Amino acid sequence: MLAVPLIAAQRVSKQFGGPTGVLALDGVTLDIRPGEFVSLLGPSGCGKSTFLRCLAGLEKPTGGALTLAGAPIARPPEQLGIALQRDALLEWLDVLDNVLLPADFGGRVQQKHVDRAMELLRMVGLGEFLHHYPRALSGGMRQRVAICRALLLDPPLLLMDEPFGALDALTRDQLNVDLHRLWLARRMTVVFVTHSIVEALFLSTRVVVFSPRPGRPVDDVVLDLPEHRLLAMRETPEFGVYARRMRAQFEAMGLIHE
Amino acid sequence: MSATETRATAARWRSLMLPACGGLAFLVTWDLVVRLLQVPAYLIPAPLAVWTELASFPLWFAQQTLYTAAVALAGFVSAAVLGFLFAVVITESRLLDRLFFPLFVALNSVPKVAIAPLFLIWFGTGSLPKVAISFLVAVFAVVIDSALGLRSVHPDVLDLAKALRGSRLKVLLRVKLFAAMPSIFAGLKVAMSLALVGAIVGEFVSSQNGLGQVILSAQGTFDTARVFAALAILAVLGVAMIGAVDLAERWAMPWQHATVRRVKPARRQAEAAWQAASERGAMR
Ligand SMILES: Nc1ncnc2c1ncn2[C@@H]1O[C@H](COP(=O)(O)OP(=O)(O)O)[C@@H](O)[C@H]1O
Ligand SMILES: [Mg+2]
Repeated sequence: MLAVPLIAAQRVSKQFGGPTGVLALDGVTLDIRPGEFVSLLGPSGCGKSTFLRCLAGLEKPTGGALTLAGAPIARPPEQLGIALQRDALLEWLDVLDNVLLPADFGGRVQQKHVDRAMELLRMVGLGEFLHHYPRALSGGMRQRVAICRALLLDPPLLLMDEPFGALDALTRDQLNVDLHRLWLARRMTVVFVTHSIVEALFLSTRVVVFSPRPGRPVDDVVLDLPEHRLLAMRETPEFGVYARRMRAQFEAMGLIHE
Repeated sequence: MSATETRATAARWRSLMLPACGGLAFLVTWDLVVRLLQVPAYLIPAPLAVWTELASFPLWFAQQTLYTAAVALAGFVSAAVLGFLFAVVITESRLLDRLFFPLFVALNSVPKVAIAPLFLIWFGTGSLPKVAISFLVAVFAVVIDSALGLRSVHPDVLDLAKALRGSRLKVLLRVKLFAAMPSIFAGLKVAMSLALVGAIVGEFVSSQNGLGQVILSAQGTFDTARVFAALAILAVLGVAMIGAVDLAERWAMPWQHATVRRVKPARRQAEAAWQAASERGAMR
């Protein structure tokens, strides 16, 4: 893959609370090319969210250079798709209006936005719930709404911070499948934060493993797995090889003991 | 009627009947105490005497009530509007918050009753000074609770708004205002009852009209039944005004009790048709 990087991080570091504060990121160097689905995999507190927030323009690195399409990220980039662990739905808007929020904030809601929102909701099985308030939905349904909202404007870049972290295992599998389908259809660039090895391998074209705090990439694997992922793929030997490799990383970091 | 409907109707009945029973018990106790202890009427009149007083001059009492209610309402509305705007200003600008909030708290600590005579000097003896006192008494609750609400937005939601590049005005009108609503209405309920207190205080200081003036002049002639009649009206008025705010709250926040938003049937049908067409398109 020779394409120019969409995201280029050069020795990015982030220290919270001044020179004596917490060093969350230390010298992250990472290029992400258009169309990649990159998972950032690492233990809790290693700075994955911090890195993602820097990409979203919500946080400024304290050192190094971070660029999006060649330009430094000073504020949230245009046409950014974003989904967080807490779904952050607005309780006072119905499902459809929640999904339309990016269009509303970006200017005006147009008919094409409404059509796109309804199409997305139908694709994730929420076509019947257009006018439900979020409080009437299950955790999995809420997170689906949040993903549709992130995808409304067909963002070329989608940032997701442990979006399925709070869901039960079955719902999580289903949403992995849904997200994979959406990604296959659009091929946007995705940066996906997770601490689940299986989830990272199932979804990604590439997995970057972070060290414990201060976070920095310690492994970077482009996955040689079938393009179209099925849940059963998780039981194949190739998948097992990758999973063992990631687990070995975690063991080497002293995060898992047997 | 289905079982759930029956239960809902029963619950609604109970929510009306129980307070009524409480009120009735209070009246009976009052009557018994007055009779058994033979309390003289100029100290505590029997409930029936109060009722007779009310029934003898219904129109006159209605006029006085209307006057007081109008003053309280004017004080309440001005406190709600200006108090909310001030809360927006101090939550949107740290500088203005630092500049004016301590001053506002300091001014609020001055007893309003002590300021009332000053208002007479400034605004004369019409209804304006009474509205001003009612406003002053009520505004603090609105400011404190609105500011609390406007600051209560979850940080994730604010991050999302920022990442979507929402303008400050949109974030305020689409996010903060709604997140603040439960808190704003809590403040409005307190403000409503305080506005009534303020109106009465204003009338105590100087007035030719209103329930406050009724109480004051009846007290001068030891007409205790009339004092009680005015107090009874005030109690009912207070309940009605709070009830009105309660209703407004339910109307303003449908998402708190409904699971589905009310949408015109035509729109719902159009959307269903669109979805069906899109479904067929996807199959092909
Ligand atoms: N706003 C902040 N102020 C101070 N410390 C922070 C802040 N945000 C994150 N941190 C610290 O930075 C480290 C990395 O946090 P985070 O990026 O959330 O980790 P992860 O997402 O990998 O679990 C943690 O030790 C956390 O306590
Ligand atoms: Mg995190």
